[in-house]
Amino acid sequence: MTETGGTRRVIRAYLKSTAVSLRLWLRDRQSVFWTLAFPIIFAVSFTVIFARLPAEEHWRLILRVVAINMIAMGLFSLPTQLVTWRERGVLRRYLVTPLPPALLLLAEATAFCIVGGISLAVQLTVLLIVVAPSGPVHLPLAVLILGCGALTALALGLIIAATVPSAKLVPAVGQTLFLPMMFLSGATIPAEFLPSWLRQIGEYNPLGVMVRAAESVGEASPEMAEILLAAISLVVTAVLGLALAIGVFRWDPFTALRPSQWLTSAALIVGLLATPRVLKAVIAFTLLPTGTVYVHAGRLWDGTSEQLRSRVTIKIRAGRITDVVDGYEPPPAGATLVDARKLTVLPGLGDAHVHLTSGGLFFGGAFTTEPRKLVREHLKRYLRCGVTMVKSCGDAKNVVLSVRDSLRSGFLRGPAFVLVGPLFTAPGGHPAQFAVFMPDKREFVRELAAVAEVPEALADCLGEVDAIKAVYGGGIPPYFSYRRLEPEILRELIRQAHAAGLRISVHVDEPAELLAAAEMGADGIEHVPVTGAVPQAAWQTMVERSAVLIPTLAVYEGLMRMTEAERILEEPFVRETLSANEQEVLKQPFARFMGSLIPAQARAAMLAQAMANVRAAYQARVAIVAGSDAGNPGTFHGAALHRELRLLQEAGLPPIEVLKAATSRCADWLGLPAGRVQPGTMADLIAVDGNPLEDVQLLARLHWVMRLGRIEWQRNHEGTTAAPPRGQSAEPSDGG
Amino acid sequence: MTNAIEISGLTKRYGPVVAVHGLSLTVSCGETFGLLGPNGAGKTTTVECIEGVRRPDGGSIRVLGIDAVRYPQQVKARIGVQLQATSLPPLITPREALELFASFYPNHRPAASLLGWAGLAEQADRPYERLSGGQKQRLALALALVNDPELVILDEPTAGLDAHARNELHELIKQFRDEGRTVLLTTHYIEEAEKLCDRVAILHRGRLIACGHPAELIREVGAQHSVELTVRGPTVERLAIPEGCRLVVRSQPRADRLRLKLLTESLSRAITELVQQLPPGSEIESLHVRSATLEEAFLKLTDDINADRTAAETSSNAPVGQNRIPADTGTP
Repeated sequence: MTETGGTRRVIRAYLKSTAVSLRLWLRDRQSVFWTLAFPIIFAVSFTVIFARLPAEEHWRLILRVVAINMIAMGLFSLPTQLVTWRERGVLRRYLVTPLPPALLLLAEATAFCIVGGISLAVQLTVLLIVVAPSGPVHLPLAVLILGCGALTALALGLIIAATVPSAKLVPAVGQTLFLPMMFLSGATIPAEFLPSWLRQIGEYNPLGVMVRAAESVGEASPEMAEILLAAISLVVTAVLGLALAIGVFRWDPFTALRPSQWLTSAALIVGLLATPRVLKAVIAFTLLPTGTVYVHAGRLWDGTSEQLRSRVTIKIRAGRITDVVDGYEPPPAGATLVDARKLTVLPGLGDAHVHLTSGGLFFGGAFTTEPRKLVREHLKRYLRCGVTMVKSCGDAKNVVLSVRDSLRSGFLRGPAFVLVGPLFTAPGGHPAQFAVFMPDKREFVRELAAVAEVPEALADCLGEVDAIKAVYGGGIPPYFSYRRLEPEILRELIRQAHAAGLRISVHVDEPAELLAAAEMGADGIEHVPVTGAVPQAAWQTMVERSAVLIPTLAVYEGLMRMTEAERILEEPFVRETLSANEQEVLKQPFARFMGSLIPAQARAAMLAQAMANVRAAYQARVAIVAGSDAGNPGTFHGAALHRELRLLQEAGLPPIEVLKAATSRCADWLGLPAGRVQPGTMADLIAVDGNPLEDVQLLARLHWVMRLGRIEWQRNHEGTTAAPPRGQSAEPSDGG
Repeated sequence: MTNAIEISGLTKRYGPVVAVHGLSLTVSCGETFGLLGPNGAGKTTTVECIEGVRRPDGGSIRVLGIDAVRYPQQVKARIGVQLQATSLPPLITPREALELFASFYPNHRPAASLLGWAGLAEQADRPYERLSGGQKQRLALALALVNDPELVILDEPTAGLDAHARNELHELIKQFRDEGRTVLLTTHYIEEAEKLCDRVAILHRGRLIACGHPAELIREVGAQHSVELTVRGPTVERLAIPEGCRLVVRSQPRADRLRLKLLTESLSRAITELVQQLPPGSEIESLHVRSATLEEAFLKLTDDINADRTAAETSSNAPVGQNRIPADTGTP
């Protein structure tokens, strides 16, 4: 018997076994019921029950239901059959043939995959006909993810089949595995209802990977890279699982696993469950920027100096600045050269106060069924506007956590990102009055009625958030009024946040509130009061305690300009970043109505008061950090920071102070190694034509934006800004 | 000519239990060889080691000249096996099963001819679960022949079958022998071994206690024929017991009737003497003669072993490949 003859025979035996298994499967009415009929009955009845959901939810509903079906099928169908066969001695018979026994398992798995594929196709077809979802349907991606997920479930099922001694135990063991995995995956209850430690465990759940990827497929414009990563990690998990199953498979009903084999299998299964997580980390590692980049900067402002430096080379390696030297040093072989000899290079800008889940049009984002997508779009706008670090200051925690995860893994490119998670406020306090717009209020706000509630509320955020934000404001009389947090609760919150090593900033409305918050030890004050002058003592307290002020003048001007859409559209970066639809909505009467809720005169007075307070704070040497409050009406992501910088300058800050507020000081406040052009910081740079130390409005003459050593946006060769269509505004150009 | 199977010093333990204890035996080519023994004697473990399904803890096995411990896959390609306690997927048909298993082997016989041979032509497309017990066993035999093997190993091929099905199967097994194949079968039906096997080996508690042609074994063990007769006549009580016979039962249900049960090593002598000594006027009412069987030899052997465990255990090496039996047997 020659080797090739042997190989050919093995292949022939594999094909024959697969064909026979497939035929037997289709011949068995019970198998056909559980793999073809039941999933369809389940899926159709399930989707019909939920058909009242808005039509744009239907596609996601279909994906979720089919995911449940595929998981259940993979975990139970074939494993039950194999264990039954082993009990009856069917599998033993193969042991006395010259074939490697694994071949039979592979053939069975292949046949089952064909059945599963048919089932998947039928389920999707029937559901698409019955439910008829509106919006784009990404069928190939859906098949990819659901198929890979089912494969992983099958591999897990085969491990059960490999070790479980009797068919009666398959449902018991399978359900013990299946139910927690199901709950943790988010297929049945949304993951955000789970406590954070359970969600962390859920990270080690291949089915969770599948369901999250399926949810992503359900979005109008799915994030390809993440879906592909999910598919790859599912396939790798499935292959490892299958190998493990073959390795420990018992063929003989009469031999039991030894305790040592049990322990090894258990350890391997635990390792297997971590596969997607490990793989993600490995791929994220490979996605880290590695190359060497030299930037020849005609002029450089390093984020702190009073002066510009001329003719320097900024050396970048693996996304970090390694050196800044005088003169134009030629790049070594293999390195990339960025020629900015005619430009001024400075650190990427930062916005310390944004709300990414809304877009600047009456909390429009809160209505979206795809908050992640909205956030991704907003992050692209920041890069487009030269903003390379942002702090989410009040967004649905589950959404921003997952976005931060994507950013860290390198699959999503955007600014450096820190977040505060839910806002701590009084029951019915700001922003709980907008609860109707929040898909899940608990993710946005934590309403505290007693000091005793602080530890639990805080504990739910620890380990997840980068900082804490509390609201200590009672509104802006006579226009808004809401409940203010009890002072002792705020004090306790500040004490416990500090004990946990987190910075806490406090939203204030009135001067007295600012004073109180500063005295209680707030690390930062969000919003400068607009109703009156802040007492000098408050500024003194802030200076003594090194607290920062994030004035958010931009949001006050945004509110003022809501009645004058054209003025907003003429601001730098607004037309470049807003979609045509958003620009239209801005011009509609409703926007004017929203804007005119407060009389024009009052709005102007408020802005003037805010500017005066900022001037006073600056004169009192309070550290000011740039933050726009973008996401509020009339205040658009990215563009709003440039408005904020202009307003700070108009308030009386010299340009260099304004720039520090948006670079080095902002990075310090956010706790990021950024905002300075010096060795060790992230290679987040922008280049502008002109000297912004003379006028910060020159930042509008942006030429390119670099994040972690990679050019994310650059002005095209004709010297005009590229105006890419919506959704691609921050795509890096090819030039790199 | 090489032997089909050569086993030497085979030992297999399951934890503390020694299933096979230093077993050595040889099966010649073309021979039909039976492994006999009560349940737990180590028969199945022995054949599973030969088949390459189990790895022995000690000793060597050569099957068709191949080292079965080192190259089990090569052995599996050339032998045909019918396992004890095995089954097929419930919905597979005999034809599908034969075609499927044929694809596993380099040489294989066409399904149609095997179906005809096993008498399953009519049931060729009936699902396995709807076959009778005998049909299932015949299919198992056909599967054992699917690769046209030189050696066929049958583990309890007729267990649980009725007499008719068993006879059908015996005919098929005889055909193997007639085709020149070597057959190794295990059974606990002694008459089956007597009927089919050229040689048998008797296993007890993992050791070989006897090995040889069935008739030789019977003779060596000194098993006896039994004679039962009832005589009617006026003076039946005067009937003398022939020499060399042992009286087991003697009863006189009525004055003119005598019932005797005798054991003898020589049937002809016992019968002749009984007839010659019949008192005048008496008549034989009934006469039943039963020849000594392998079963009696077997029971005698195993009883002796059980009765004298210590003796068996001190003479740690079981008899090898010869018609020896423990020394303390043979005296009735």
